Amino acid sequence: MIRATQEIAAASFRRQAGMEAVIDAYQEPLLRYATRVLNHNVAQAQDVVQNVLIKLCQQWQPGMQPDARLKNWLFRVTHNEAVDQIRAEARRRRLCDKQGQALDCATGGLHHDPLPDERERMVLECLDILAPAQRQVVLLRLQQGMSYEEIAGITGQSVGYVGNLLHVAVRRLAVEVRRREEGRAK
Amino acid sequence: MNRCDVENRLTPFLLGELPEQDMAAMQRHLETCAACRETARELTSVLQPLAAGLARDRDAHPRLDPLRRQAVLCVPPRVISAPRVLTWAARPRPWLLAAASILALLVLSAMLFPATMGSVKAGKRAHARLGLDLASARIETIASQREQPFPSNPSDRTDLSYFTYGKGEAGAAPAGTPAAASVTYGGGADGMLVGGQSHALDPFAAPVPAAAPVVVEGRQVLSARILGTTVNNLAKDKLRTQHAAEALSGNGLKGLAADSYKPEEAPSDSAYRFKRANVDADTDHRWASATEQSQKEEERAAQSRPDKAIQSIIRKSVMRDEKLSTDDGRLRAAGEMNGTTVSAPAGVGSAGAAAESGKDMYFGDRVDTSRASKIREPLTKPAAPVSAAIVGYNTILLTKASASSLSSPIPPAPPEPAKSRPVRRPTPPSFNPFVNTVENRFSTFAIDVSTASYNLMRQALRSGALPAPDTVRTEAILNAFDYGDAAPDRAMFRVYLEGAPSAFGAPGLTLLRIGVKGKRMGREEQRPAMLTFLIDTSGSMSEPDRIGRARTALRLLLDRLAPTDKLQIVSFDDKARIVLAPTAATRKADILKAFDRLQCNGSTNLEDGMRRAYQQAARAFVPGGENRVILITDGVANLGSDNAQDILKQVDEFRRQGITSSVFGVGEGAYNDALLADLADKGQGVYRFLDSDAEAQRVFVDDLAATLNNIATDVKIQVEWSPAAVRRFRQLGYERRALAAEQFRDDTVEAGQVGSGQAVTALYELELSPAARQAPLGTVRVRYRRADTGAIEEFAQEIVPETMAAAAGLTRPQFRVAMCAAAFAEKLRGSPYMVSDYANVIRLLNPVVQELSIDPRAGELLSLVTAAEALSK
Repeated sequence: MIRATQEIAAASFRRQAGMEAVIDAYQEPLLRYATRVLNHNVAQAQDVVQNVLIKLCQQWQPGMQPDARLKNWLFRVTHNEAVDQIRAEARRRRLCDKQGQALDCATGGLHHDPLPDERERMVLECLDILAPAQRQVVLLRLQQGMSYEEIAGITGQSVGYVGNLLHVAVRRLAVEVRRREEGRAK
Repeated sequence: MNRCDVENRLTPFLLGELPEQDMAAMQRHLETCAACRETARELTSVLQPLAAGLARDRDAHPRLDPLRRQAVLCVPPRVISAPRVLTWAARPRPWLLAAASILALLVLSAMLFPATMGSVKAGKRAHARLGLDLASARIETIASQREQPFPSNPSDRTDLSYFTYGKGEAGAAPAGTPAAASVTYGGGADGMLVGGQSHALDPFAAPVPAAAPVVVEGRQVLSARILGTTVNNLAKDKLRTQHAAEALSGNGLKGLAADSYKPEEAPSDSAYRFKRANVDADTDHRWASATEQSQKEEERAAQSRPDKAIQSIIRKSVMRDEKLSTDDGRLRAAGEMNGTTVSAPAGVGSAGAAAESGKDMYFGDRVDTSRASKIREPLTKPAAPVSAAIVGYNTILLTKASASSLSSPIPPAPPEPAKSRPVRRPTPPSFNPFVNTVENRFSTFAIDVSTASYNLMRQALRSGALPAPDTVRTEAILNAFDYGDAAPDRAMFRVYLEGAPSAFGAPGLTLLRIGVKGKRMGREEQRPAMLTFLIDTSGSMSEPDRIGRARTALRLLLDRLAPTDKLQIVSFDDKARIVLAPTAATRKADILKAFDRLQCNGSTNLEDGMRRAYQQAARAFVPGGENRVILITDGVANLGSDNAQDILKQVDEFRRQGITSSVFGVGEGAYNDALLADLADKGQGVYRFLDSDAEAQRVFVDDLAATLNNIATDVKIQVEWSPAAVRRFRQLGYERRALAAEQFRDDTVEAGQVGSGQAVTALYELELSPAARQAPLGTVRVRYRRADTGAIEEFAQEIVPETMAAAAGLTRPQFRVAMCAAAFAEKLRGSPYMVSDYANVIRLLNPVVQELSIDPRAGELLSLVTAAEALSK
C-alpha cells in the first residue's frame, strides 16, 4: 500500500516536471504566435495560452514525451482557441455597439510596440484584415519560421494548399498596403 | 510554365520554398517576363517588411504569467478508467443482498404475524436451502461466463486470480476463472514467462525478471512470449512448456485465446502501468519469496543434470551451418561455464548475425498463444526452422514469432538472408599534416577532455602488448596529465601558453602548448543532478572487476552526491529493465540494495538499454539540473540495432533536449571503443575507462565536480597564426575534432564540453620565421556556451614571443611531460612526423620524474614508455 502511494506520488511528481518542461519550451513561441493572431492583444494571448496549457495538462500523463506531434497539437489548439477568442470578441463588440457603449474592448490598442520602420508598421497593421486561416499560415511561416510541410502538419491541409493560402494572403496584404498608401497620399 | 502557374509560385519562390530546379526556372522566367517581375516586386515590398517585423517578435521573450503558470500546473489529469482490483470483502455479492432482504422479510413477517412464529424453524431451513441454491447458481454463472468473451471494459472485471506453475504451487486458484488470464511462472533468469507484456519493460516491474511474478491478467495472456531460459534447464522447461501449453489450451483459458483477443483493445500504456502498480503491490509479497526459492533450487538441480536433447539441437544446427567460426574465446568460455561444449550455429537474420559475433544464443522467434500447444515444436523437432541461435554464457532465449504478439523489446528478426555483422576493423590513424600559414592561417578544433584512450593504452601495455595504433589518441593522452595550470577565479577560462624547441620532431621545429583551464565551481554552485545509471548486466559483466567495479564506482559516487541529487538505475542485457526508480542520493542503502540485486547474464542489447535509459531520464527530467545518463559497460553491443548510427542519432536527439551521457568502460574485452567514444561525444559527456579501483576513485570522486558539472558546452578553440612569424604549423592529435575555420563562429556546430576545473591541452609543432622573436605568433580564441546561462562567449589571447623558451631544458617540467606524452602517443600511433624513438623520450622524461616526484602520473608515463620500448623491440 505504501509502495503504491509512493509510486502515485512519484508519478505525479514526474508528471509535473514533464509539464513544466513543456511550458518552458513552448510558452514563448505560443505567446508570440497568439499575440500576433490576436492582433497584439497581450492579455488575451496569455488567456489563450493558459487555456491551451490547461487542456494539455488535463491530458498529460507521466511518461509522455514532447515530440513533433505535441508541437503540432499545441499550435493547432492555440490557433483554434485564438479564433474562438476573436469570435467571442466580435460578438461582444457587436453587443457593445448595439448598446451604444463606447467600450474599448476591441482587439488591439492595448499594446503597441514602437517599430522603427513606418512601412513595417503598416504591413503588420494590415495583418488583421486577413482571415484567421491566412493569418495562421503567414505567422507560422514568417514568425515561427516553419516550412510548408510543418505548417501543413499543424493545419491539417496539403502542402500545396498551404502554399496557395500563403500566396493569396500576401497578395491581399499587398493590395491592402497599396490601398492605404494611396489613401494616405490623397 | 504558363503565366498563372508562375504567379502562384511567386511567393514560394520569394520565400525560397521551391525545389532547386524550379527556383532556377523561375529565375529565368522572371528575366523574360515583365509582368511577373512587377508582381514579384510588389510581393517583395510586402514580404520583406512583414518578415522583418515578424522576425523581430522573436527578440521578445514573453513568459506566461507566473500565476497562470501555477494555475496550469495545478490542473489534475483527467482520470483514466483504471481497473479496480477488488478485494474479497469489497466484491459485490448480490446473493447476500437477496438473502438479507429475504431474512428481513421473514423477521418482519414473524413480528407482524406472531401466529406464524411456529414455522420459524421451517423458515430457517428454507433459508439455508435458498442460500445454497444461490451459491450454486453463482458457480454455474461463473462456468457459463467462461464461454463468453472477456468483458471489454477493464473496470468490469471483478476478480483477479493467479496460479503458479511450478514448485508445489500449482492450482492456487482454478485455471479458467474468467478474469484470470495471465499465467505466471516465476522462473526468472532460468525460468519461463508467459504473459502479454514483458514485465521488465514496466517501470514498476520487479527489478530482475527472475523474481518477477508474472500475473495472469485480462487478455494480456494472449500473446505469449517465452523468455530467458538457461541452456541447462531447457529439458525441464520443455516439460513445463508442454504443461503450460496444456494449461493454456485445456484448462478453460483456451476460450481467451486469439478468438477473443484483439490487440488494439490492449490497455493503453498508462492504464497498464496503473494496473501494474496495483497488481504488483498485491502480489509482490506473495511471490517474491516463493519464486526466489524455487529459482535457486532449479539452478542447483539444473547444474547437476545438463540437458542432452538441447545440446543435440544445437549441434545439429551447427552442422547445418558451417560458416561460423567457432574458435571465439568467449564462446568457448561460455560452453565451459555451462559444463558443456557448445558451438554457436549461425542463423538467419539479425539474431543470426549476432550469433556470428559469437556471443549469445537466441532463437529469434515468438509464440502466439493461440498456438500455444505448438510451443514444444521447436524443442521436440530439432530440424524445425529454428531461425537463429546464439550461444550465450548461460542463457538461451527462446521465443517463436507471432504476428499478433504485442510490442516486444526485441523486434522480430525479418527473414532476411544472413549478413555479416559490421566488424570493427582497425582504421589506420590519420595525422594532421603541416599546414602552410600563407595558405591557411587558421587552426580550429573542438575540445575533447576524454582520457579513456590513455587508460586503454595503459592497460594494453601492462598486459604486455602494444596498443592498436587506431585506439591511441594523442589528445586523450595529453589531457590525462596535469600541467599545473591554475583555475581562473573570475573568468570562465584561462589560456596558458608555453613553448620551446621540440625535442622530438624534425630539427628546427618549435613546440607550443596551449592549455585552456576552466573555472572551478564550488559544490554550492552546482546544479541538482538527475543521474540515470545504465548498467550492462550481460553475462560478461559478472566478473568482479566489472560489475564489482561498477558497484565501487556507484558507492564512491553516492558518498559525494548532494542531498538534492537523485539517481535511478536501468540495467540491460537481452533487454532493458528498470532496477531503481528515481531515488534521492541520500537513500544509499536502498540504492546499493537495488544494485546488488543485479544479475549478469544474457547478451548486450545496448540499443534497448539506451532507449530505455533515455526514456527514464526524460520522465524524471529535472529542469535546470544536470540530467545525465551514465553508461557502464564492458563491451560491444551484440543484440538490438547493430547499426551504431541508430544509437548515436538517438543520443544526439536527447542531448538537444538537455540529457547528456557519459560512458565508463570496465574490464577488458571486445569493447567497441569507437562506438563508446562516439556515444560520449554525441552525448556531450566524457568517456573514461575504469581499469582499476584507483581510477574509479579518481573519476568518480576526484573528478566528480568536473564529471557532473559542466561549466561550458560547445567549447571551440581557434588559433590564428601570423604568417609573418609562423611559416607552417601542425597540430598533434585532435584529428577527429578538427573544424573548418568558419565553423568556429557557427553556433549550430556542436563541440565538446568542459567540466568544472577541467583543462584542455593542445600542442602545435611550428616552424618559426626569424620575425617570431619580435612579433606575436598569432592569436588563440576560445568560444563557448556558458552552461548556466546558455550565452555564447568568446575571448582571445595573443601568443607573444616571450612564451617561447630558448631550449626544452629551460621550460617547466610539466611542459616537458606534455612534450614526452605527445611524442609517446605519436610514436605509438606510428606517426611519420615522429622521427625520434622511445629511448629519447625516456632520456628526457627521467629527470622530469625526479623533479615532479609528487605527481605519480609522470612516473607512470615513464614506466609506460619503458614498457613500450621493451615491447617494440
